[in-house]
Amino acid sequence: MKEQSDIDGNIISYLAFCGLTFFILYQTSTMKPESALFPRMLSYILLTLSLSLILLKFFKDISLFSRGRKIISEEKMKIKKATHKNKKIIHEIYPFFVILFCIFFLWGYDRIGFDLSAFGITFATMILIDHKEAFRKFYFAIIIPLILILIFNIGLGLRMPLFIEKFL
Amino acid sequence: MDYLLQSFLNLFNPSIFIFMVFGVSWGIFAGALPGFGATLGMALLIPFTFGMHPNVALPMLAAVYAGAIYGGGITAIMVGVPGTSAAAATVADGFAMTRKGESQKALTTSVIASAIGGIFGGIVLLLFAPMLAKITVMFGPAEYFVLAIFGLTIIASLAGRSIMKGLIAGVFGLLLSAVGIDVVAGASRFTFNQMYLYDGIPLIPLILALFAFPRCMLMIRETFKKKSVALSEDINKRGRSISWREIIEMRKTILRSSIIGTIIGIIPGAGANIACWVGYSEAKRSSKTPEKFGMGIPEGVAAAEAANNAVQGGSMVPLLTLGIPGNAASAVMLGALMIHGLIPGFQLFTKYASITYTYMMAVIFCNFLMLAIGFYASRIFAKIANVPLVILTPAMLLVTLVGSFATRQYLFDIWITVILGSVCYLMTLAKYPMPPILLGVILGPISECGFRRALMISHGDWTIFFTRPICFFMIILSILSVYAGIKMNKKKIKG
Repeated sequence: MKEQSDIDGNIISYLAFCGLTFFILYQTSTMKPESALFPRMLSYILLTLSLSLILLKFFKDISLFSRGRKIISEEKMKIKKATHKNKKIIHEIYPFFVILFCIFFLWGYDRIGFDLSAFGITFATMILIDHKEAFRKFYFAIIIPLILILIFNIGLGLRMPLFIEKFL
Repeated sequence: MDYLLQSFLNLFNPSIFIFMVFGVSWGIFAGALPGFGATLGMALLIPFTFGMHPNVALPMLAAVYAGAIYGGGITAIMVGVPGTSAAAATVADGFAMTRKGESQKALTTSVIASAIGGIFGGIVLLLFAPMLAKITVMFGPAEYFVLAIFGLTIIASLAGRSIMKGLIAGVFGLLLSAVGIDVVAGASRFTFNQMYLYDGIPLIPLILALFAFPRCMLMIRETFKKKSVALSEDINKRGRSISWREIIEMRKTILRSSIIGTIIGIIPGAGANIACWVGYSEAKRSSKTPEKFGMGIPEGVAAAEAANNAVQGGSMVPLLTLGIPGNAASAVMLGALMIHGLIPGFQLFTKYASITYTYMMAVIFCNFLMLAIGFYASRIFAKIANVPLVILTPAMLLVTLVGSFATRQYLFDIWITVILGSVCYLMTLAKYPMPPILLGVILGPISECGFRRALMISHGDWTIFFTRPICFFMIILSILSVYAGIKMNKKKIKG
């Protein structure tokens, strides 16, 4: 299972780095040659290293396979996969909700104020982690933003638009 | 001498003192939280320091570092789970002592040994750093380029299990450093016409994106796998504390581990997680009763804790003089120095001597604070560290977002943290280490400028990098560093 995910991860990251290299080559095509040299050189190194990573893993697997270890690990992998597949996929999605919450926070920062958007992101994350506990301890979603307002807005003088200011 | 006295007196300035007490407390808390540690503890505090004077900010971060290394030992002793990898060796005897009902003795031994180790490392820093800094006056562009290359070879040691992935992460960091205005030619690179990116990727949002944001996402992922670690029932049995006679009997072990920790700290790439094991195994090897190690003896706890805390002082020697961070926490410290406009090297000991000496004094002094706080409150910290993830994760997420915004007050910086943090989360899942990315971003401009300026001086002659004595010496060091990194990784994989 671990071996498989390593190979998948390596291939995916290689493809991502390929994309990054093409992007850098495209961007540097309009730059002065001396400014473009460093990023171009690095993008080629990045591509070479990630390709080497896949090749190294591939040759390591071949040597394991020739020694017969791979067959056993693949059998184990199939059993594990069958049991945990569905459960695991759902769990893997949860962390990405955080990105959505952050987008909401950024959208709301200037529109509804830091206090409301901070309460929103805190409470939403609490619900995501444990909805029963979140409702039981919802007051933390008020306390945490309040502490940050005290430190950053009042203490350090940061620009933090507050919803409550509209009524003052 | 004047600087020493002045910087010593500076530490008793109420604001510095209060923030150091806070730093130690926060550090112990962060260290005691499994998965947090010194790096994340410092990264989360950096946004709060942007408005502070460096004389306040840097001692506070030194206090966080020291507190976190010690804090990792608290959960190692109480729960058997090391809060940081630097406390892994403490588990062997520390948790065994808790099981025997001697947790109080283990905690007291840990804090005393940690403080002595930390003070020893700090004294070495104070003695050797100014001497080493004098060498940097002889550095020209070619030397700076080779120095940056040497710094990048440390990636091999910071890489974790795969050197190749460490190198890829480092090159990715170098590419990120290319964003902004090219300082040599003045051309704009990868800025997408956004004026927010003209100065490059800002350091605070970057540090938070590398260490804090992916950690929040990982914490959510882990929530569904396991709930937070429960404290052992054995912690209620305190037992007696350690006596002065027992401490004096361990003096050789503590001193040996302190020396080992400091030397390992000075060697770039080898950090507290290695020092604790070397200190522990050396204590076991020289003991008359090695069979008792692992069964729950204070000497085992003292050996590991003195070694890991001595690393801080040692690791600051190459950082302050050459700008080479020896481990992840030092890399964050380097980021903090740069945020406050302090560039490691000779100037730190001349133009900014007051700030540097205050910082070095703080590295020593924070251990006294840690001793006082740890002596009376370590048990409380162990309980606080059991904060449920349902509160901890959202709080950390919000601090990360507000922290990214704090320095420049651009919402764009929060976008940087969210986008880069999501990429770093995916990279973490694919087992790419994060510290080499930070190292790449920091060393990128130094290496590029050094390389291009050296070639301008030599009219395109590449031999400039091999014919100058310091360059040649550092090239040899770089080769040795890569070799040592490969060896160390092989040992890690075998172990």
